[in-house]
Amino acid sequence: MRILIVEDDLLLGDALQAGLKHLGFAPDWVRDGIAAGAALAAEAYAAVVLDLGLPRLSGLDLLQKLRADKNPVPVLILTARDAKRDKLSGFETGADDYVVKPVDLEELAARLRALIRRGSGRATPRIVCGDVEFDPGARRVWLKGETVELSPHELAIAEALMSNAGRVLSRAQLEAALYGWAEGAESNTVEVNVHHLRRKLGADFIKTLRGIGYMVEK
Amino acid sequence: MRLRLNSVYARVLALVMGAMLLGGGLVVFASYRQALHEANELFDAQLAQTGQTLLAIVAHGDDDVAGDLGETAHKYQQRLMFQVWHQHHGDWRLLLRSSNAPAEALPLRKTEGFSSAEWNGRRWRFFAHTDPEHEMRVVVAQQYQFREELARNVAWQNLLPFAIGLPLLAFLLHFAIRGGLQPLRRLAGDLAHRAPDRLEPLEMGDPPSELQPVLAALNRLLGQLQGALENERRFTADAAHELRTPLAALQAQLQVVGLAPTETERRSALEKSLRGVSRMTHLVEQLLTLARIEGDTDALARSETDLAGALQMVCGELGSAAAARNISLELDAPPAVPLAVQPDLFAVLARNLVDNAVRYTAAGGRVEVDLESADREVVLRVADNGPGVPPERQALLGQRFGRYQEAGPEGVGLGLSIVGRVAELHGGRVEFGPGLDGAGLGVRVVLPRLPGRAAATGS
Repeated sequence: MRILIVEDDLLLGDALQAGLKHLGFAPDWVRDGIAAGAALAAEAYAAVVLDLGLPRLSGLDLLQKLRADKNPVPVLILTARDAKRDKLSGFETGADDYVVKPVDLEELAARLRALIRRGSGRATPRIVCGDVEFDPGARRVWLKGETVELSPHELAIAEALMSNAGRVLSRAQLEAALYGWAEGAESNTVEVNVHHLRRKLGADFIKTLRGIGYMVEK
Repeated sequence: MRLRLNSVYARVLALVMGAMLLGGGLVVFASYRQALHEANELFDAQLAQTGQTLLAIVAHGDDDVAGDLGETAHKYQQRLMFQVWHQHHGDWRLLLRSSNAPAEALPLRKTEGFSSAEWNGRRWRFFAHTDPEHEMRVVVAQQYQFREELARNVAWQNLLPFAIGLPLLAFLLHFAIRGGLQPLRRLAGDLAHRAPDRLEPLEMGDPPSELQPVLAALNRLLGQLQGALENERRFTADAAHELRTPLAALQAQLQVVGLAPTETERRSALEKSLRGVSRMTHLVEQLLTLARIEGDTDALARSETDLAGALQMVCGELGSAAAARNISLELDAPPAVPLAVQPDLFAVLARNLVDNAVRYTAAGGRVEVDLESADREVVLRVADNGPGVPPERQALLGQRFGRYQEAGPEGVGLGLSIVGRVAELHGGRVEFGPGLDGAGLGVRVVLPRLPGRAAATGS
């Protein structure tokens, strides 16, 4: 799942990007408010991890601008500021969660998943589409109750399609779910992984709409 | 109210009562003197009248000796003494005398009019009067003692209401002084009931003029305290804030070590964790330095130090960090620049300045350190050709954690606060300006020579 990390501290931003990648996200990382605004305007992110003390444009200003533009993306504020009024103004401005540094990476990932789940209107963490069940937190998939082993790339594509069930995702959108900006995708990665998923979860699980993209039915 | 000797209440009471006693004493003395004077006048008149009356009666009456004149009818009527003499063929013969008068001649018998003299061991007032036509002479005398008694009585009568009034006055004064001291007690009560962190100005609706300077001074002090306290609170909050991000980075990097699937990634995360630790160490050291010099105010143990030598040491220490990033670090200083400074603190100042310049200058940049010695001051200038700081932001530079750099190379934002504080401790100042090649930042630290030493080293 593609998320945006906005953090000016080099060591922390680097660790957040690496850690969240290992925890099943496809994170992009920017280091100031202006760059974050540009990234959010260009790409569709499932969630944003936002620091408040940012150069050029503060986190709160960015959030305000985001909400003024009717962007509903879930935003988790990750900051060193622990004063109550900072938390209140964060929520008032439109944050969905507020976490004071330092934070446990797994907890951060769990919070992000909960935010994304709520953002897509689901209450239970597991996503069910037909015979297939997916647990985003545990990174596990079941077919008719039996565990199926999937690679990280397969998991990322399954997650993207299942959490957007009923909607068509383009190949570019699936590529973005696989990688952030950093790694270049090989041209046929999406096709290869879709092929593997069909083999493991059933030929009808993923529909192909020629020239448009892929879809999982609700 | 418990009576203590060293209290405004006791002082005012004692002073007022003392003044009353002194004033009262003066009044009684004056009234005694006045009464005595009046008594003298009165009794003299009485003496004269008695003498003349006697003379008139005797001149026309029988020659006889008056017997006892009987009991005195009034206490002041006391024992007038008289003699009436008649001149007969050149001889003075006693014609008439009072029972308390002697048969022989009284002194001053021949002095006409009033006179005073000792007689029979007492002081007397005499009045002698002569009737030349009948050749008669009368001498009337009275003891002074009675006049003095009268004057004393009058004075005592005046003193009496005062003596009775004094305790009453003290009683009333007690309430009056308490009432007068009410604003002071209210102020004391206000102060006593304050929580230690309540530092807002003291409010007294309409303070008496004597209390206004006290109140103003107190409020000024409270304001300063409040400022200092807020500074401390902000510092604590800032410090907590500045410690959280490096800690978060450290924790996250270490978790990445656990999460990373490949050995290369684990190594890289571990290496970054170590960098996080050294950044934390630097931050904590800077905080400790700042805490140390913030506390140190007056007792600055200065000693004559060669600033050029100290700078050489500092630049030597930081030379490798500069060389590692291909930054040219140059020192331009006279052979020896002695100045009375605290040597460790000067080294801290210089290290922070040079370290800042090296940190914030891009690889391949230049950092110049100049030391100039003038008559009245020594100027240390550290300039770089790094990204610099716009003039409108330079005012923020000395503030704690006021780091100006959008994607900073791990500075902690305390260096220039430390520099500013050390300069302040030495009576100097810090100025910011442009750096090298029309870019970068130049920091000038001006340290004044202490008066008296200028002559020794100025030439």
